[in-house]
Amino acid sequence: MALIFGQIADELYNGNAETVAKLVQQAIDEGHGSQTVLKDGLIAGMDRVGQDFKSGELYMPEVLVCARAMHAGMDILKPLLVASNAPTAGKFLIGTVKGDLHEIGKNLVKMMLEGAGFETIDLGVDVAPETFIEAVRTHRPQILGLSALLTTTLNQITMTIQALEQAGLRKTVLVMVGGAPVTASFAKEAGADAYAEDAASAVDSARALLA
Amino acid sequence: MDDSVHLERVLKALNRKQPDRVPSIEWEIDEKLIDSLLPGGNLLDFIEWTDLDGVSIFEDTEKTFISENTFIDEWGVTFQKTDEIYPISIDYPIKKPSDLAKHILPDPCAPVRFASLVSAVERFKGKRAILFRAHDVFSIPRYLRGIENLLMDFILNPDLLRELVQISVTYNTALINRAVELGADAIFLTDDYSDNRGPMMSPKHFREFLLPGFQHTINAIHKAGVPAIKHTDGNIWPILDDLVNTGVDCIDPLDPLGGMSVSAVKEKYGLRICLKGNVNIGGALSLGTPDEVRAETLACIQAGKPGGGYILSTSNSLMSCIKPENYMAMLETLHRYGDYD
Repeated sequence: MALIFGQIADELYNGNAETVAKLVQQAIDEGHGSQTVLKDGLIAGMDRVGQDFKSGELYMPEVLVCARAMHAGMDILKPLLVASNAPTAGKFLIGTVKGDLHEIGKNLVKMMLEGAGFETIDLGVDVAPETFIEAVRTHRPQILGLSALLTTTLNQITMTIQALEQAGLRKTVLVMVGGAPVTASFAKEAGADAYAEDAASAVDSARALLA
Repeated sequence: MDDSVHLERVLKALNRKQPDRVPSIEWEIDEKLIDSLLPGGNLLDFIEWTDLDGVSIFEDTEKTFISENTFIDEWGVTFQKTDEIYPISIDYPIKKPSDLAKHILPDPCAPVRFASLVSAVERFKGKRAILFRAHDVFSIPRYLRGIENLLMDFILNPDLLRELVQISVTYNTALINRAVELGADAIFLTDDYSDNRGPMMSPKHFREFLLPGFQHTINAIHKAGVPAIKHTDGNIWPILDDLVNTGVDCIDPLDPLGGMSVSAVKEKYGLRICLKGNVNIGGALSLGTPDEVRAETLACIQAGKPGGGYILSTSNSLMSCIKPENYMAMLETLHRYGDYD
């Protein structure tokens, strides 16, 4: 593997956005394919970030700064990836459920998934079941991620999954749920396919779902 | 019964002594819950009706509404009202470090701030504990910068972070002093440091950027002559030694979702610290039966009660998700098992 990919991954892990952007551009200028730079540079770096976040070595400030560095590299790669119709690790639609405006957890999950090569579509916060349904119809994601931070909005997870069934869409999409009051047993009762305990484990859960 | 029994109960517990009975206080109480149990009653009526040992008061602030449910507060932070009692911040004024220089800070001693406190003092002073909420080191900076920017500031803009923490400490020290002058019996600090996994920042970052300001705030509260209660959600085990070592009088709520427990913290710290908590609002109180709540409440009382230094409460606030009959079961269990022999 070319040395530059390891350099990209290292600089991403160290949160150096400008250097990541410079190295990504250099890698492209040297003739490396955009998908290879993404996989062996940016995703490799974010995988290490994800592992260390999961193990407790890194915390939210470090992860956010690393994600910022990743985005700096992605800004250069994205047009090239689109032009080459590059496949992604999967399409992930995500939102915080109706009545809930919390988003830091959802945003961290989104960053980790993008870092792992997923295409993410973020519906934002306070998303009603019908909005999720419409978005599933429009975007046809492989995975729908539902986030809730309040006990009072937990039932919106159940309602959204029920709405998917009523719309005849339940079998077309895998559902992953998470958030502070969400537990594995709640996720099972609500009819979700997977539960992510936190942003650090969301990537592993998403990969396992699509394996 | 002596009028002051409720106040004495709370003060004894905060001072790690043994009162006549385990006291109970709550932070915010949702109006829907009040209305379902005491139709037409207000917060102070509810406190009397439930015979809670104290009332929690929040500073009154001026809001500029820009739509029916959206307002900008005196710090320039945009909030959206939700179905819950507390609004959520959705936009922030300090988008880059240079914005701070032209930012106008609110006056901590503006008379508008203390209207609710004055009402509570008129009704309960000397009878029930009057607890006043201040911030410490994290909430105001996160509202001013947005949470993601503030977390990155630990690494990318450390000087800005220090300045924001200082602004918060200066403002809240003045607020605390005035609140105590007006009759507050204790101060509670509500800035959340953690989520279920643990602190949002590393213990190293916490100690460098936040702990000194937190210590300063605790010192200010004690200098004003009242006890200090620290609330934070989540798993605080990695920084709990630091918090206890500041001399804070009480830690709340020992969030069960964060793996905290009354018994484990009591075992580690004994009567160095008063504990408040932690009947899970995400558990039986909202989703279970009165009998399940009774069992959980009894377990909390049994864990926290020995030797004193314990206040019974929910694991956050009386939010709208709590079934009214379940909350009454919690209080009933306190009255049945909370006495010290």
